[in-house]
Amino acid sequence: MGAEQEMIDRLRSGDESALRQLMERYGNEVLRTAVLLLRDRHLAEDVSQDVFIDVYRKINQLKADRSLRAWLIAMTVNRCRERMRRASWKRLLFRERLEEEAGAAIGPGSEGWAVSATIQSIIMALPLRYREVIVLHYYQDMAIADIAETLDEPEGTIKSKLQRGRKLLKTSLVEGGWRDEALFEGQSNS
Amino acid sequence: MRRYLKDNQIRKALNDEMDDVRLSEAQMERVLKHAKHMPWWEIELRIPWSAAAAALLLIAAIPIAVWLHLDQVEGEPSILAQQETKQDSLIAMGGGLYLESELLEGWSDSDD
Repeated sequence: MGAEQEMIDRLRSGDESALRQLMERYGNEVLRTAVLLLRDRHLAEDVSQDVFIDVYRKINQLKADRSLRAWLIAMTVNRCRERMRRASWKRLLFRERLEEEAGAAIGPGSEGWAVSATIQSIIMALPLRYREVIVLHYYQDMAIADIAETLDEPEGTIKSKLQRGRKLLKTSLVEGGWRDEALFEGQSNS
Repeated sequence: MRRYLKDNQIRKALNDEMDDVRLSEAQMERVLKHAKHMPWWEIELRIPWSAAAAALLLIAAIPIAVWLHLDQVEGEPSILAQQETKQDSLIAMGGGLYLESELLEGWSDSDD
């Protein structure tokens, strides 16, 4: 029996030490994914805790052919989507205040962007539909088929989202001081 | 150091940046505490197929049994007929309404 299957069985029997072990193994990954998707550390911490509580409660729903990690990440993405939906309602209610805050933020093309741009800040600035695939591809190192399964979307959709997202990401990275290797080599040769 | 737009470099840089984001011991404790004192309505139970099927059959059987019982009661005319014969009737007489039983009080067949 594999270590993962053993952990699943222990979780099914209500073993709390298995839950701790699960958090030690995947806790950081879940939290970091949530931070990148939500752009808010505190919300991401709440989401991470909710995800592990959900796993403990719903472990019987885990299908035999699905890996525990993939299930955890899918739950994290879904929880983040739920939070984002709630946040958009709030945005609708407190529009003015948020618009003021957005005006003061550093975004792509702004003066402070090139200095302060980190990969996470660039990813966080992407629209959610691209941010999800970019996080799963670059941070979770997932293949297109796995992303499609996690987000429950067709592979073709994921492919085009990833293509568009990568383009946006790379444009922002260039603005943040990154270089296109081919371009740079071309310049140094000339 | 020059940074290039290669996937593995982007991935590595992202991992390095996210390194300080960690699930703390306090957060893990909070999760464990919640798991330990989970309210009963949050607990999911695994119901075996056989038990679920038996429960469904039972739920379906109750209305059928009630319907069959009612059908049986309706099919016994003697009870209803008896009730009908025992019912008192109203009689209009001299501008007033009287119960038949009141009028016949004291006028039994034996008095004739």
